[in-house]
Amino acid sequence: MLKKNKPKAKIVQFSDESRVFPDGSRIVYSETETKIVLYQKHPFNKSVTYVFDRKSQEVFVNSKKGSNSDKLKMIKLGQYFIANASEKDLITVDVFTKD
Amino acid sequence: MKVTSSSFSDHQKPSSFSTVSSLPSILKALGIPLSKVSHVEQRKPKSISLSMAELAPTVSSDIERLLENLGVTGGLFYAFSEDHSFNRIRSRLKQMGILLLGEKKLKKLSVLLDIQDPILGIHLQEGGLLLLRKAISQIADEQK
Repeated sequence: MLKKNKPKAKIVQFSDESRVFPDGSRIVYSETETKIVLYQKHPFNKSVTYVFDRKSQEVFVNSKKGSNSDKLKMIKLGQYFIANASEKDLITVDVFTKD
Repeated sequence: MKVTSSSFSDHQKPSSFSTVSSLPSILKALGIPLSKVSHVEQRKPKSISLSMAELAPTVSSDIERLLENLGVTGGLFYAFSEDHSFNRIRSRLKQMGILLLGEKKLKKLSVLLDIQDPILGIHLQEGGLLLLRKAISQIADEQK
């Protein structure tokens, strides 16, 4: 039996991509061994991507180093995701790489 | 940018990843070049694991409030590994009228509150999402 590789990343989002959260935004959660990413996109606005570096504990917002306030915003966004998503409506996407 | 079938190997049918239009942005943020991706697989999650609470140790949050209401404060995350803590959590949840926990459910709760990781990773498995939401909602109601 072939050994199955572990996914490099995991992405969690609504299975129906057209579905939005109550505030009208799309939110996607993803993680690797080293990072946690929350992506939010409001219609007609630029997306915001929060990246949490699990080793350094630093947060980055749209690639720029963020503050504790940004970290709090990321947590709030994660909680909003949890509070407004039902497991049955979510899908997990496993990402595999070539290496 | 929309991901197209040419971005991936034959492992993956286009219909299977057509729902992930944000994939390039997500992968970029994760530091994974799109060219390195061999394929993606979608699954209906039997379990969903969100690690948001990793960010929480220094920041007040609903989750921390939940733990405080369970009688657990920052320095005591380690204590989850001790059985009496589970009893305390179980008592508190019963007191809050959230649910009747059988031993099987209690084990899920222990996973939910992650006894292994002092950084308090939260793993939401099966009913965990509902459980956490109920608990937070209950606490919010109590504080009104």
